[in-house]
Amino acid sequence: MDKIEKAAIGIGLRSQHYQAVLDTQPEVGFLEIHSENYFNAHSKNHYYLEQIAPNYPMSFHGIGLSLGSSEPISKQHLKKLKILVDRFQPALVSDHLSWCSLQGNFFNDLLPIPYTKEALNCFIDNVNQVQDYLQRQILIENPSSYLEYKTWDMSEPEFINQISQQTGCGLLLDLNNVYVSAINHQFSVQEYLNILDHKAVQEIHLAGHTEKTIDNSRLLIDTHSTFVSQSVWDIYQQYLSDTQSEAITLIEWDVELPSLDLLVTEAGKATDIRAALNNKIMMPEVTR
Amino acid sequence: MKLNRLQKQFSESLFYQHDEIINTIKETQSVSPLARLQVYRNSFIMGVTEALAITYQHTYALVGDEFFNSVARAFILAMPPLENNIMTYGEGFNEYLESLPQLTEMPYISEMARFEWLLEQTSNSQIENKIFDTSQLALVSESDLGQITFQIPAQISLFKSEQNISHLYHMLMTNEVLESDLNVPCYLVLKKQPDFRIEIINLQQSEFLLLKKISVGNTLGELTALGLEQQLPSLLENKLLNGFTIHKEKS
Repeated sequence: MDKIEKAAIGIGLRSQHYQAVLDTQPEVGFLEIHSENYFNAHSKNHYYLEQIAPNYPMSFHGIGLSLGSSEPISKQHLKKLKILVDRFQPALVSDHLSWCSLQGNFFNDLLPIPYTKEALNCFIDNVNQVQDYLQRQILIENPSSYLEYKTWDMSEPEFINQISQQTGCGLLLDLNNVYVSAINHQFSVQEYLNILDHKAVQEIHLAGHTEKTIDNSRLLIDTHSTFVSQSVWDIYQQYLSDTQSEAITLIEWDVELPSLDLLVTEAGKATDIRAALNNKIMMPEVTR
Repeated sequence: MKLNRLQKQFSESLFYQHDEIINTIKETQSVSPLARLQVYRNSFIMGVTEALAITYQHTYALVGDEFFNSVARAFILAMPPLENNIMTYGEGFNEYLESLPQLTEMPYISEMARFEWLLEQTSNSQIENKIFDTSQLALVSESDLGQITFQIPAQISLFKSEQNISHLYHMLMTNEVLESDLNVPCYLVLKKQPDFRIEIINLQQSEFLLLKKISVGNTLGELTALGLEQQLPSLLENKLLNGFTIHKEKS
């Protein structure tokens, strides 16, 4: 297993870029894949992963565990994930604070869970089951959401902290998701981040979103189809400055993919922000 | 409300069975609960439709954007994904298309979908590199000869249609649509290559029938009447067989 260096900046590995990654070996700190796309060991995706993975530290990010579901984790899914993880030994394995399947149906989406004690206990049981089976820690990512339930016992960051404290899992902080949810539900990004346990954050996601007008109101949709917005860059800069976090950072882009060069350039913005903050720390202001 | 009941209501609302879940959604001064729920409904249908459009790209090209999206939506609601992995979704789409009255006069559309599903399965198959050592056949005793069953490599699939799907596929791939009679049967072998291309081999009807019998485990004794002797060299040349076993009846 190749460890990912502290504060490394990475990009998502997508099939459209396989050959370009092999040919140009871009200088990024790590690559992240969507685990489910590589479950079939005879697929083209798997073939390319075998060529590319030896050259980069890897992070495996899933959407299929359905950790927030009231039903047990799919053993079949977990088994396939373990085979993949055992084969490639990625530095990190992650999934979401959401549910995506029920009664045998899969919705291919990150559906919201109510932040109640019952849902918390259920989520904790599921995370424990996954970590026990994989024999390793996983990270949990905060989702973008478009609705809130009337019934709740705690806020989202409090819910996440509880999961981390009671399971030992790490956190994957998606700052675009925090921003999208904050606009959609009218809460303060800063207050959200003030509650979150930053020591547990091991990875940060940055992505682009799309703005829609619904019922004459603004709603942001987490589309991963464009550049990271300036608002999210500002939050990222402030977050790093406030917390001195050494979490790694991923630029996520899944739809209407740009060229590999452009994606690497976008990742370079994160590198620049980190470098500027480091210089500021190393060169304190001269006092008169 | 219990978590399981809430999630059941949510999933039923994604299938448009009812809207009861909106009673659990916080009301705001901006976007209504129903509109917020609709974001998830749209995301579910659009995300899965996108996966279908990738697998069935040529079927999509044949029917166009509007019709494909409308049929995909109906298919997804009737036969949703069952595995927590969208990569495996799409089986049965051809049968769904075949059942649509609007497509009765265009049977090649559902046949193209059936062909594309098989293409996808073939491209995800294991490649067996074993080479048929024909000299081993000479070592088989005469009494066992009739009990031989041949093996077909895992990277090979068989496709038969009453429509000339191979011709239609070629036209779509080359973007050269020519006036042609599609009501001509085709007998195809789909063979995965190490570079993940799928080689498409057109067979004679007799060759196809023979391979089909081999694929279901018919013995040499049962195949002799189908002209195996004449067709064996061509099957071996195309590497459509990669070995044999002697089938012993259990006593």
